[in-house]
Amino acid sequence: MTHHAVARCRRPRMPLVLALLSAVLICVVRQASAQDPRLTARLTEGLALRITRLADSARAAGLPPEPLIQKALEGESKGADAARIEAAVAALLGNLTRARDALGAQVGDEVIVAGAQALRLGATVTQLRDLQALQGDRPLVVPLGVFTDLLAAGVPIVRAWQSVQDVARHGGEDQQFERLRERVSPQPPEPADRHPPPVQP
Amino acid sequence: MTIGGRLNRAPRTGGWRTCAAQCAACLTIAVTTSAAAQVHLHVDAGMGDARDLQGANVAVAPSLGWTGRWWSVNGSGRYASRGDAGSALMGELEALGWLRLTHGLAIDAGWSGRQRSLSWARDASGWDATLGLSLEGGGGGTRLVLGRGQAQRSLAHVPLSSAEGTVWRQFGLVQIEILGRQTTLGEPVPRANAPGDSLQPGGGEVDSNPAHQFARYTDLGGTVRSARGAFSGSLALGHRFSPVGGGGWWRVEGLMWLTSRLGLVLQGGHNPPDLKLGTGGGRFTTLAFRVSLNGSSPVAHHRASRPGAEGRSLLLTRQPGGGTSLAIRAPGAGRVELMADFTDWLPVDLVPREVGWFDLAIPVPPGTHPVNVRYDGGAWTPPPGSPTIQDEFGGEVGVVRGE
Repeated sequence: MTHHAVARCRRPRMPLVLALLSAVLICVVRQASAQDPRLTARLTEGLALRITRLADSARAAGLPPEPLIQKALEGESKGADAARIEAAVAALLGNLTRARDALGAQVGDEVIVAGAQALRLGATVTQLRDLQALQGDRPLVVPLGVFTDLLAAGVPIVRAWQSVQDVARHGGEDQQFERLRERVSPQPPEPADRHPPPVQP
Repeated sequence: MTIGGRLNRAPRTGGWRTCAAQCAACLTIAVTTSAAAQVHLHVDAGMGDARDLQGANVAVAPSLGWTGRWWSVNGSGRYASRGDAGSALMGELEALGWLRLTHGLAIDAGWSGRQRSLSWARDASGWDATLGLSLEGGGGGTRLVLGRGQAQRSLAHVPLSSAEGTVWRQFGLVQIEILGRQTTLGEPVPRANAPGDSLQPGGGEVDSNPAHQFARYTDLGGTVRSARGAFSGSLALGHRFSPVGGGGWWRVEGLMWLTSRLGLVLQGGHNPPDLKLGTGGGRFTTLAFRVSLNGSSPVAHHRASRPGAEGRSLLLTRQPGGGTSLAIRAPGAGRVELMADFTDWLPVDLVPREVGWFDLAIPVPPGTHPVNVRYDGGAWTPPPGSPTIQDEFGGEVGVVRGE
């Protein structure tokens, strides 16, 4: 086959490749800016658009957009006004960003979300970094979840942090963190109480 | 392994025998399978001074239960063996079905049978069918049960009838239950040459036919149960009143989980004779290890919350194939709804299962989830007993974790 013959064979393929690339690009762009049907169905048009922009910002920054959508849906279900919903979503985006900055982009979305939750309850970026350093290669989801649960249970942040730090320094296995959680949230009676057995004389 | 002393009362002779230096050891293997399906299996194996055979003996006691939405079946057995005294085998099967009439009112019907064999020969058996009515609400409840069946007396069976009333209430972590039960064995026999049903309870002029021997027993008692962390325990006290011999009875049981797989059980008490079988009774003490073979203790499997002021509580059960099932106990509530991120914050009705309990039909996905519930269309609140945080919308949300 001559050089011209090869060129003739290749020439028609270039527009096809460009067309395919364009189609893919358009799909990606449309996908990125498409409004979530859950938002359009339940929020006003303007609010849905603003939430979508925040979600797009999160997506562009490599952050999970779903928690933002869920926060908006939560606000809608609870009857909050648009300004409050938007503020809540924006605050969450801020915490997600801070958590990602503290923990790095290499951690999973669930770790970022757990970190954002801890930040909202009073944890600091430094504590997230320190916990990650203490854990090393060990998973972070459970420690962050336990830290959050302790804060949610009303444990003062200094004490909660000391407890989590101690566990991380002495092994840092998930089961050890679970036991810490159980000490704060004691186990109640078993479900056998539904139909209490009669006294057996 | 255990060591315990006991005074044993020979059931037939009625005399007290001091069993000195009796040692009881019991290894309890508890297997809980398919927690989401409410199936449980326990096997107790060990050595003790059993209720079935006098003196120290080796015992194996399996127990299997299956609870569905409207029914439950429970079976248990106990095999005890001692070299010079042969063996004793006791089995019990109980089936119960219930129907909710309203959100707090239910009727139930059941059957239970019990049999004992000595050295593989049937020694005694008894059964009864029951009809019950229960009313639950406000963190407590009451149940009335009528029973009819047959009980073993000597070599024959006699008619058995019973009426039982139970009242219970939850106070924080403590449940208190009061029981009154009257059991009648035999049938009233009209005295010769006397009009009407002139009864001779427990003595006097009774028909020599065992089926017509008549005696009435009244049990009054109470039980206190509680659990906290790795500890759980119960104490039951009562008294039996009867013209043919009564007396006090008591039973205490404590369980402490040493690890997620190993627990320590302490039991002791004094049982009255078993009216259905016409046997048993006496003092006992047992110290045992409880081993859970499926990787975690029932405590770890069931993460129920502390009941709230209205007796509400949250039950999270790890499912064998992954995911976590959620149930809420809300006595007196007719409708319970839940919304969370895994429902896109749309209200989902929980399915009423039995009196006071409501199930979420979908599993809780792995991870931590903000959750709200409401009762009978009221305000959205955190699930009872869950860690609670302020939401961004002026309310509170609970945190529930799926596995």
